[in-house]
Amino acid sequence: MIVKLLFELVIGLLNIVFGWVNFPDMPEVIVNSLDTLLNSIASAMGFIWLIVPRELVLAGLPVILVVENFDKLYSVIMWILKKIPFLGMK
Amino acid sequence: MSIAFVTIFSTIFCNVLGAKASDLELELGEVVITPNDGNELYSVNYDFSSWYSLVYNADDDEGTDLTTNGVYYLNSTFSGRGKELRLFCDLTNLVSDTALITVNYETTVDSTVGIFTMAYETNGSGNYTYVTKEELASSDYRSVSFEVSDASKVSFNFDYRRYREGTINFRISSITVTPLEDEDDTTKGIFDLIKDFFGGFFENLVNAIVGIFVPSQEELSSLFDELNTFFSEKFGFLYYPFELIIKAFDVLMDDGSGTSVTFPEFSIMGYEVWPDMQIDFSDNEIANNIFSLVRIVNGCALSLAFVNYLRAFFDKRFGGGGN
Repeated sequence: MIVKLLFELVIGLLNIVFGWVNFPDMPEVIVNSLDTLLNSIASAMGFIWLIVPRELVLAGLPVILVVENFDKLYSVIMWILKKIPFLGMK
Repeated sequence: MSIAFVTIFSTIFCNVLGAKASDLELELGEVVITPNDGNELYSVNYDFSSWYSLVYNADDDEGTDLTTNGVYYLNSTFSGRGKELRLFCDLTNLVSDTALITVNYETTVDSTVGIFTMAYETNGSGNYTYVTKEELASSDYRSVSFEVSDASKVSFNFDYRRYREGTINFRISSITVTPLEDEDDTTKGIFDLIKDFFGGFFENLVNAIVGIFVPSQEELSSLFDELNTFFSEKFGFLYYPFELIIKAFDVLMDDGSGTSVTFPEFSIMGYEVWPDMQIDFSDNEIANNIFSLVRIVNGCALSLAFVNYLRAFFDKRFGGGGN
């Protein structure tokens, strides 16, 4: 409930800040072409998962993403920790 | 957006236990009541044959009332990202106990529906539970099942969101309601009942406390959708790359239901040499065995590569680099 409330607050704030913004859509030709490409990949996923273990890929992919962005994540976590005064981190 | 609905079955005064087919008053379809091996539990099956078809075009903002067919088309505000369509169905007076409801439906679309959902609620609570949520690309025959604790009034809806232009066809081919037998309280001992009461009480208490801080999966998903739609509408082409990444992730997460190949028909001068053939690899036992072996080999190779990758990262980050 609290997280939902915060989320709705953020969306409300975004509405106030960006309410006036109205960029045009991506041209339909490009959207359709890329949709076709994605649909083709989606329809081929069944075949890919026949030969590649899906569970392994879905488990490994987030770990690889975290490892690849380790530096950024570390910086963000340290930045947050340094904001907490009683931890005394500098 | 106002919510309107029409009951598919306006009067189904049917206590399923002990009901006969002739007792049921239905406006559509046929009713089949199948005894369940003499256990006095019955499955009620409604079969439908009508297709409900809608044609969208960008200038038409008027809703089409399909009330007479028992399914209501609710027109929503037109937005730049495509129209939204809701088909709302209501089942009333079925059974007042726990039941398993299976809805078989078919749908065809001309172009991609960004978000297709099916959700249900009971007793007009307004709390919808999502059963499916995915992208819809073409024609599909699907079946969804969900269990409800009180099936006396069940409402469910099908939402088509982010649809640009074309025709949507929708058909509920059948609905099966199977009452599930609850464990009779009289057969339980007093300690079991006390245990159930306190077990349920503390579980509900914990769930309620968790619910205050952590939103449910459906709520979270709906909030992210809202955020995604907001950025998509406001930032248009600037946000499109992010939308594409989200779509690509969805594709990756998809378990890929189709494993069949269709060979087209071949004919010479009007004479058919062979008809179109569909081969499903997941149905074939030999192919399945071969693919299982290939999957194991690929799994081992991927695992080794993964461990090697982590080792390389560890060596690079923390030093070492031994054997």
